[in-house]
Amino acid sequence: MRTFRSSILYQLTFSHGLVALILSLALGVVATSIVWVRTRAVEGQLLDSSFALISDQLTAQVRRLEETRDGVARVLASRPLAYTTNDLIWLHEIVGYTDVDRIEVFSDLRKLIEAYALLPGGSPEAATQWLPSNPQVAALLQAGQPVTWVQLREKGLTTLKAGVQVFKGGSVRWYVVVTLALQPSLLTSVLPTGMTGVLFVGDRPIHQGQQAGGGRMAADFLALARRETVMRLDDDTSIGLELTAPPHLIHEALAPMLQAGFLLVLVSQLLALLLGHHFARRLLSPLHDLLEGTAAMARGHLTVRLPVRRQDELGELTREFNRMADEIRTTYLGVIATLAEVVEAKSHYTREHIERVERLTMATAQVLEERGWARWSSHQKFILSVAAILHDVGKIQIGNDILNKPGPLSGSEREEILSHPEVGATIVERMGKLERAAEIIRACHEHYDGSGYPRGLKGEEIPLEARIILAVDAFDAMTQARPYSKARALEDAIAELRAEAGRQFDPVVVEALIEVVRRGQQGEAVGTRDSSGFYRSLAGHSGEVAATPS
Amino acid sequence: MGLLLLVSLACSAPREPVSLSLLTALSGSDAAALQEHLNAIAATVEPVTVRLHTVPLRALEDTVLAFNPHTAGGRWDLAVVPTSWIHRLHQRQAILEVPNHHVLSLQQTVMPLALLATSVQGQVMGYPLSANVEALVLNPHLFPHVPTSLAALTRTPLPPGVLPLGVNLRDPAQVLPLLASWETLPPDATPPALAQLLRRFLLALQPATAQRDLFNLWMTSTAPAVQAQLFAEGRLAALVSGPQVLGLLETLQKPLVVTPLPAVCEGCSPPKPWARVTAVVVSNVCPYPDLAQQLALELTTLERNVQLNLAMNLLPVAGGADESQILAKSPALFGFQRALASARVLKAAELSETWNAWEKALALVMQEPQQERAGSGQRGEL
Repeated sequence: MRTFRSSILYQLTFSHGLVALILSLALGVVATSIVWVRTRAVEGQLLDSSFALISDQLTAQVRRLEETRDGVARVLASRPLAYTTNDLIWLHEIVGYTDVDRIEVFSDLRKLIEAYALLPGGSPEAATQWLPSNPQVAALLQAGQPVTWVQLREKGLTTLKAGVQVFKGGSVRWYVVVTLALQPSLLTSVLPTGMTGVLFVGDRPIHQGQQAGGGRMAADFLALARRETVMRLDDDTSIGLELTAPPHLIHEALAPMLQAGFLLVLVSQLLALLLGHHFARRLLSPLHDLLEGTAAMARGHLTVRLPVRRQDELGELTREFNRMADEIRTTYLGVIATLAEVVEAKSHYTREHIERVERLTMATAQVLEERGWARWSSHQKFILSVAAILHDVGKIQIGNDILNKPGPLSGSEREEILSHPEVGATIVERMGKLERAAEIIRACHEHYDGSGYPRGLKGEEIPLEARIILAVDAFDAMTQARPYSKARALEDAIAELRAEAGRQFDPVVVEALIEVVRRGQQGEAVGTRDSSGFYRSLAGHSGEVAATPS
Repeated sequence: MGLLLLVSLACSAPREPVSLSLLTALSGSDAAALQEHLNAIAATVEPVTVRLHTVPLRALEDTVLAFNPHTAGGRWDLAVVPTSWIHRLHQRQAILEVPNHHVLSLQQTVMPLALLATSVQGQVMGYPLSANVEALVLNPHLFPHVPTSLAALTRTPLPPGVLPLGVNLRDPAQVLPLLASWETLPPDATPPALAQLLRRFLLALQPATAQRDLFNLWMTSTAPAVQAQLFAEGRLAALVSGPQVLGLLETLQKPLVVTPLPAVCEGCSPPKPWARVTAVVVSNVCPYPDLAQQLALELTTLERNVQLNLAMNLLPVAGGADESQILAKSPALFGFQRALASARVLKAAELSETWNAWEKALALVMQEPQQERAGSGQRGEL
């Protein structure tokens, strides 16, 4: 069973679509890759500039811290300091002026004085965990080196600290520690819109910031992320930064590309399917004709002939089909011609009688078609012609003595005569593909009122073609001279037809036949198109009947 | 899976978030709190991004007041400004008037004093955000009872090394209400007249103000931070301050009591402190005025306004500010809230003139020899 999915049309259309899909996807992948690479470059530049900016800011903060530390240390080297209101005010003014968060002065292990801004400098977490807690820092400070380090609390504030020893002379050792809180604003103030940043001290994240505007997008997972160390402090602590490019960059770059890509794929698929279907149909139309022609031949449509529209292999195939169909038809027609000749010889019919019966039959059929009472296809007309030619083929089996007996027939003879339609139908049936013609031949002697033979059919039970042949055969018999009778006048024959209309003949057929006769009297040709003498052509075996499958 | 993600990426509607810039002098955790609330509002209102640009107050003043909407140079969309600037912004046609339906909302949610502060000639020109008012912060261990006057406070016996009172003389918002309640202050007070008044004020609080250290403490430009530190360390018994010191003192878990400013002397009328209100204004050239105004209005809703101001150690302006919520979070802040109830808003012109006159008066007093000003003082060890 052939389904649409198994048809060549489907396969060709599908292959068109598949090729178009692969091509458009390949094109999309290439274009997306280019955009991807270029967007990655932009993201990389953005990350580079953000790393540089935050690194610069951090460096500037550390430098400011160290400058404040060194400045305070220089002044303290020659200035007395006590825990007095005025000294506190002095220190506070330095805090306010330098924007550091806290200044502490230690005398060995004892805190001498401190000044801090409200917050975050005033937070206890900003207070310096002094020397015992920072052995590495303490060692450097005690060695007289300026030190910068990070004070990391378990939960809370992370501070940058810069300390130095103050030379006060003698055995007294003072240390100045200046503090600056590492605020999340270090990140958020410089991050471009949508960028996410995480500040690390060592491996520990201390601040995470995202500049509003990026939102959560489907492209978050695609954004470029990078981690770098931006600063290394004296206590060997590293300050690192992990930045993730704004997802909207890759989103804005890729989304239109992908949307356009999907649209392109959709349109190209649609076009590929439509064009593929169109071209496949054009390519396959001769095959369809061949398929239908073959099927028609198989159903007995011997007149099939296909138009040759192409000059390629399919055109050649069509020509070969026509040649094959011609040969089959010629073979059939040869058999029909042979049978017709046998009938002529057997029943003293003349070739002219068969020609007239056939011609008048086809002319009557044409009049019926003109009046809208019947409609035949070319194949049905071919069948009608064959039936008209071979309507008495059953007489082959009847002995000549009975067939040509001048006197009345005996009962058995009569039986034999009455059986000839069945015999004729059987002969034609055995030829194959002419079952309809056999059916007509079987009913060619049935009378309209049911008085005919062999089955006593009546009215519409009798095939119309048989009713036509009966009337035409009778009319020709009446109007032609026979060895045993004279020809009757045309008007007598018409009167006889009318007299028998409704009894022996179908009144409608009689009227159509009379119109054919009248037109003939007036010199008007009837049946010039379809009733052009098929038998005549058979006799000569010279004509081809052209027809397209119907 | 990757293909599915790419498909979801392609199918996700391209977003074009509206971006608004907000200028503010808030910094650090205050700015972070404001940003957080704006993000929360933006998430519920529209796909909008509000970027905070933190600048120092002086730079903010230069930027906002120098802004010319007709040239649109240095464009900003929203700004958090003191309401004392609104009059000038209105004159320059730099800001949008609050639409009537928003005014109706503000009338229901915002305290009348804050709404008055943002009004110019009957037009509401901004959305009140926060208030600030001076009150007296006391160490309850040193004052079993709240002193009835500053004179009484300074006379209270204190442990050695403990200073009685911190005042920021450089801030007229602290001192002038005290002076005005003590002696009637003429509306057009000249610097010499103000200097004279200040001298009498210092004399009235003798002998405390005779201490040189105390005078230096009152005059330093970093008075709020120094006084807060001294108070936290138990070396200062009381100070006149706004609520911004609460962050430090509550972090250090120092006991404190906040009360409205008392009269200067026994029998004097109680001072009427100045309320300093900040508001959100919307630029006249903001491309999305409706959106910007909606964002500003959302900041005045009761719960959000209380939460935001608690985070910033400022006073909510929402009229029905949830007292229980404030009390639970910060009883001291509630003391400032009480002080705000009796405060008044100074008109912009009045404030500007007073400020200039006060700076000159202070300079006159500073030029005088120490002996003339307050008698001889001792250098005090803490």
